[in-house]
Amino acid sequence: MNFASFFLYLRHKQGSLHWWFERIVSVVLIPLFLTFFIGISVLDLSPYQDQSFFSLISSFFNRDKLFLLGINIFLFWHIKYGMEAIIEDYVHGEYIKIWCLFILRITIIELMKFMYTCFIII
Amino acid sequence: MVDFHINTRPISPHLSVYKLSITSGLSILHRITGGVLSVSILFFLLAMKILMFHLNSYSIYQIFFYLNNHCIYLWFLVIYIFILMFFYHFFAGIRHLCWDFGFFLELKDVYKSGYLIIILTIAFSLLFSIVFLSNY
Repeated sequence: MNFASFFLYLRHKQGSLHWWFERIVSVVLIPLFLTFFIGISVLDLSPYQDQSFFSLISSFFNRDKLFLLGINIFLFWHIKYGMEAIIEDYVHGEYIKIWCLFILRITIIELMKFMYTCFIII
Repeated sequence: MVDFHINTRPISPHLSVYKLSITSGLSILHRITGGVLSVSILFFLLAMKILMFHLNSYSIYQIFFYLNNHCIYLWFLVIYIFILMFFYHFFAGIRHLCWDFGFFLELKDVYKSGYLIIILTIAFSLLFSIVFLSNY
């Protein structure tokens, strides 16, 4: 087993790995969002706290840093797979489809970097 | 000079003659809610990134201060629709994952699980918005 045979294996399994990663990312996202919503409703919506837009948004971002990192990565991967499926199905021009997929990939990478630099390592 | 690459032949009717049923309606609703949710998250974060807002900038505070004091029902409506779409996408996604691993593939089970996810979305979104919005 060396790098060459590993990359050859990945190249052969490219399609099924795409299918599996979509499902794995969705499955990991289920408990993350459940804890997220339960955390918001139990911890942050008590009558003793300030009820405003900023307290809502800051309750999204004032979590465990590891949890936020997990949400960051898996949510954006899930969004990427979903929007790729929509663009592949409904955009019919050849060049505009490739261009839309490229712009989507760039946007997702930039937003992951933005979330990481602004909210996670601070 | 005629461009022979442009297709000027008509296509056969597909969307105007198809009768929407509950199975196809729920399926397309899963895709619509997924698209709308992801576009809203992407636009919100892109706006923060490009316009260089941060959580302490005065203009966001001003907009939502006036929204809170004058037309809070608009805010409630937007939040409620977002929560509905989120929970529908959540439960329909779990149904898709069950289908991928081979469970509940018969037609009777599809109808039953369809009704179940509709009931669950309405229940969870009512529960969550009552918990969330009653504190205002």
